[in-house]
Amino acid sequence: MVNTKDSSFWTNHLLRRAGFGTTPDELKHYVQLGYNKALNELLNPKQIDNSQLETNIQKQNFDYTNLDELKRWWIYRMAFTKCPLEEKMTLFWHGHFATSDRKVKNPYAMYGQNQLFRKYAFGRFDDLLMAISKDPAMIIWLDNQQNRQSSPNENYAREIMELFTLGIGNYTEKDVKEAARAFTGWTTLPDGFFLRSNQHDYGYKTFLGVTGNLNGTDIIKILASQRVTGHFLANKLVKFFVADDPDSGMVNRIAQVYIDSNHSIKAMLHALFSDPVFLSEKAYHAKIKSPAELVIGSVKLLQVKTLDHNLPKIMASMGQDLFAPPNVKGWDGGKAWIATDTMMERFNFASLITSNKFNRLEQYTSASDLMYKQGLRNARQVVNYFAELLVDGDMPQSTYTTLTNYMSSNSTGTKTTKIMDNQTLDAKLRGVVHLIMTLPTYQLC
Amino acid sequence: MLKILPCIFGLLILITSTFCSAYGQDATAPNIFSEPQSENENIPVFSDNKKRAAKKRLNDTLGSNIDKIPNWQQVKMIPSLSGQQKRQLNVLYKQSREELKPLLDELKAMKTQNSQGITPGQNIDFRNKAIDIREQIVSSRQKLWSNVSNILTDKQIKELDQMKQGTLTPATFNDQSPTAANMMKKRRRFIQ
Amino acid sequence: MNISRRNLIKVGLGALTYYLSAPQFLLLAAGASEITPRTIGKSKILVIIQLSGGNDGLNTVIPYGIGNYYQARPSLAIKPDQVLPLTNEIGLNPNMQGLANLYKEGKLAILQAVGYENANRSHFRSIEIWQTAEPNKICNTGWLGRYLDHVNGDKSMGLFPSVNVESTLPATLAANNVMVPSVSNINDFRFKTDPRYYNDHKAQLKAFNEIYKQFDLNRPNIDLLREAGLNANEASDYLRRVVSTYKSNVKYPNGKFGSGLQFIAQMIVGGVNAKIFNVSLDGFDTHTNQLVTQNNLLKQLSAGISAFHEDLQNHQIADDVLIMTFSEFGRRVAENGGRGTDHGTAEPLFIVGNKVKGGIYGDHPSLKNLDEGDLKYKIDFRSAYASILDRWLSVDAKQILGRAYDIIPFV
Repeated sequence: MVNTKDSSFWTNHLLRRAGFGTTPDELKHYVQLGYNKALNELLNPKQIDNSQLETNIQKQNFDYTNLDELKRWWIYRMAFTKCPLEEKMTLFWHGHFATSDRKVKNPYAMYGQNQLFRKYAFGRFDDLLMAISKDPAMIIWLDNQQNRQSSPNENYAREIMELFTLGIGNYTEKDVKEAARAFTGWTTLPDGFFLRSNQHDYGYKTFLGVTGNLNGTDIIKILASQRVTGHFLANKLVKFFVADDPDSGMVNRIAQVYIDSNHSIKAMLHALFSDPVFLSEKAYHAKIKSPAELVIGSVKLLQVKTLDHNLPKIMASMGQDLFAPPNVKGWDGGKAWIATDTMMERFNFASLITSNKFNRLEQYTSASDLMYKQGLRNARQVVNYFAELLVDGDMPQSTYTTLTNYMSSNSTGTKTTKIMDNQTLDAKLRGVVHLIMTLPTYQLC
Repeated sequence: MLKILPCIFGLLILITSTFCSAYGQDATAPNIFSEPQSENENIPVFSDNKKRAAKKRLNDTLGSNIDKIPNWQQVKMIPSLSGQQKRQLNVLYKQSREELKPLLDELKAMKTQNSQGITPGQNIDFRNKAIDIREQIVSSRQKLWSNVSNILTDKQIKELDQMKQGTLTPATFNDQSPTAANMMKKRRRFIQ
Repeated sequence: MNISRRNLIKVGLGALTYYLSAPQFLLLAAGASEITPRTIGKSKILVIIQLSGGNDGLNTVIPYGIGNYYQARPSLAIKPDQVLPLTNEIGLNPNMQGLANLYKEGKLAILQAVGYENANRSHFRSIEIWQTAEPNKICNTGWLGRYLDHVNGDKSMGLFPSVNVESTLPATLAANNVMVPSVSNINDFRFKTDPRYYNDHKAQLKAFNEIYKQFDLNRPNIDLLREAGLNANEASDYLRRVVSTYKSNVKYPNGKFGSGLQFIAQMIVGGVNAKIFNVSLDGFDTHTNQLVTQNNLLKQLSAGISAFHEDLQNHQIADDVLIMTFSEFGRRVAENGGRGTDHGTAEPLFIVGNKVKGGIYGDHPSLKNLDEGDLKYKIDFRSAYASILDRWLSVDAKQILGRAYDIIPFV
C-alpha cells in the first residue's frame, strides 16, 4: 500500500526525519526539487543561502551567556533554518556527545560546543572526535581537567570508548587505563584547549593492540579507524533517523559506508536516506517524535510566528531539556519518550498551541471566513483537511467519524445541522486541531 | 513621576506569560492557518515574558539599564579573567547581594500586601515607598557596576559584551597547541 | 543496552492484550471510582529511593574508627568529632541527623558492603545490573517488574500496580504484563482544553476517549501510545481526587526529591493501591569537589526520609511502608586528584521502616584488603532483594530472582 506512493509522499517522509517537518511552502519547495535533489540540498547546507536566518536571529538580541536564552536561540534555529538537517545533526551530536550545563555551568561554553557540532556535522568523524575531545565544555563535563599523570581520571577515557566510538564490550579495563594515561594533561583554560605538558604521561602505552608513546591524538585516530566504531555510529544513526529497532542489514550497509568513505558522516547519511529500508512501508510513521520534533514540527505545520517564551520548559517537561541531557548517555529516545505523564504534556502542548494561536486573528477575520476561503463546506471536509495536513491522513475510519461528529455537534454534544455561530465554530475548529494533535499518529514521524 | 506608577504596580503583580500571535507574510493562503499579510515587517519572534517586559519598561522609564548589568555567573565567564580579579569581583557581588537582600525582601512583602487588597489607588505612601525602594535598588546596582567595571579592563568589558551577543569566537575553535611562551603565561594566570 | 526500550514495547503490547481480554479494560473505561482501594493497615508497600550517579559509601557510613580512612581521604575525610557515631568504629555523615535518629529508634537497618562479583564501573551497565538483578546477562525486566508480573493474578492491582515519581521509568519497574505509570507533577497532570471554551471541554474529552479506544492501526508504536494516552487521563482523574484530600504539617526538603516523597505520601495516605513507589535523587557522580555536593545530597536524603516517615506516622500508616535506598556503585577508597572520587564497587544500603529490625548488618568492608583500590563486597545485593521479597512482600524470592539467596533478617 504505502510503497506505491509517489515521490512527494517520500519527500514528506524524508523531511520529517531529516528535518523537523515542514511548512506547506517548504514542502512545496522540496517536492518540486524531487527526492534526490531535496536530499542533496539537505546534505549540503553550505550551498544554501541561510542569511535571512542569521539576520533574524540578530534582531532577537539573544543573550548567549544566559542558558534559557541559549535554548531559545537553538529552538529558533531549528524552527526557521533553511538547512534543517544541519540542525537535526547538531541535535544528534548533542545527544551522542551528551554534555549538560548542569555540570559545565557555562552557557557560553555550551554555545561553543553547539557551534562545533554544526561545523563538523557532516565532515569526517575523526575531525569531530578530535574537536570534541578538546572542547572546553566536554573537558569540564567528563573531568579531564583532573586527569593528571600523578592521578589519572578515567572518566573521559571510558566514555569515549563506551559511548562515543566502540560501544561496551569492545575494550578492556586495561584499555581504559591506558587511554586515560594518553589523555593526561588535556585540559582547558577559560579560553580554550590547553595541553599541560608537565601533567602529561609520556610513557609507553598499549591500547587496543597498538604500543607506543601514545597521546590523545593517537587514541582518537585508533578509535576512529576501528570497524566497530563505524558499526556503533551506523547503529545509532539508523536508530535516530529510521527505526527504534534497527534493521541489522541496513546497519551493516551504513557501517560499510563509514569504512569505504574514509569515515565520512555525509556519505553515511546519504546512504541512510537512500536505503530501501528507509524508503519502505516499515519505516513510514514508525518512529516516535522526540519532544524537539513534536514542538518544532507543530510550529512549522501551524506556521506559528510568535513562539511561546516557555518552549524550552515545555520541551523539558516532555523529557528533552536542551543543553541538559539526563546523563552521559544522552536521551534514550524512541519508546522511552512515552510515559503516562510525558504523554499528558504532549496533549497539553497541543491544547496550548491551538488555544493561543490566532488570538488576534479575530480582529480581521472569522473562522467561518477561513473555512470558506479554503473551500471547506462541512464538518467532514474540515476533518479531512486537518487530518491530511497534520497526520498525513494516517488514522482509522473510526477517528474520522468521531471527529466529524464532534465537529458537527454543539457544546452539549447534540448533533446540529444548523449553521454554527462564529464562536462555536472557532471552538470546534480549535478543538478538531487539538484532538488531531493528540492522536497516536501525531506522535509519530 | 506619576507616569511611572502603572509600571511600578505592573511589577508588583505577578503575571504569567501567554501565547500571543503576530501576522505572517504569506501572500497566498496555503492553508487555514496561514495568516494574512501585514504591512509591517514581521519576522518570527518569541513572545515576551510579561514580567520581564514590565521590568524593562520600568527601567526604560527610570532611564536606567540595570538589567544589562551582568550578574556574577556571567562575569565569571570572561575568558581572560585573572584569579585576582575573580576574587575581587566575587567579594563585590557578595556585598551587593547582601545590600540588595533587605530591599528585595521588602519589595516582595509589598507585593504580597498588594495582592491582599492594597491597591495602587488606595495609598499614596505605599506607592511612594515602592518607588523609593526601586530607586534604591537601581542606585545600588549602578554602584556595583561602577565598581565592577573599575576592576575589569576595557578589553574584558568588550569581551563580555561580545559573549552576550554570541560574537566572541567560541573558545572551542581555538584548538591550536599553545606555544611555550603563552603556555607559561596562561599557566600563571590559571594558577593565580 | 536498550533494555528499557525493548521492554516498553513488550509492556505496551502485553498490557494491551491483557486489558482487552480481562475485566480490567472495562474497569479502565468505567472510571477510577471502581479502583479497589488499598486495605489500610494490612498492606506491604515498598518505596525505592535510587541514588543516581554512584554514592560514595565511605563518606555516608563513615569508618571513622578504622585508621586507613584518614590516609585514603586526606582532603575528603570527615573529622571524627563531626561524625554521628553509631559504634566506636563507624558513624553517619554529619548531614544525616534524621537517619541517625531513626537508627536510635531501631527503625534503620544498614547493610554493609553490598555489591556483586566483577563489579562493573559504567553508570549505565551497573545501574542496569542493580535494577534488573542480572549481572551476567542483559535482562528485559526489572526485579520489581518481575515481582509485579508475578502477583499480576491478584486482580486488586488495578490501574496503579506501582507508581514511578520520575519522568522516565527505571528498568527496576519494567515488566512484561504490567505498565507502571510515571507521574512527576500532579498539577500539570490533567487533560487541558481551551480555557475560553470551557463548555466544550467535556465534548473534547469524550471524543478523545472514543478515538483512543477505537484507534486501530497496524503500526509499530500505536498500541503503546494508545495505552499511554488512555492511562494518562484515567490516572490523572484518580490521582487528583486522592491528592485533594491530603493534609499534613510536615515540612519536606525543597526540591524535586522532597516533593516526590511528599507526593508518594499523599498517594499512600489517599489509599492508592500501589505496592511499589519509585523516586530518585540525582547528582552523586562526584569526581570533583565532592564534599559540598555529597553533603548537600545526603542532607536532602536524610531530611526527606525522616519527613516522609513522620508524615506516615502522623497518618498512622507507617507500619505499612518499607523504604530501601541503593546506588549503582560506591566509589574508590582513595580520593582522586580533584578532591573527588572515581567509580568504585561496594556500598551501604539503608532500609527504613517501623517493621525494620534496626542495626548494622555485616562488617564494614576492609580499607586495607582491597581489590585494585576498591572495596570487596560482602553481601550480594540480591540477598537484600530476596529478603525484601521474601519477608516483606511475601513472595517466593526464588521465582523472581532465579535462584535462592541468603535471607538477611532485617525485616
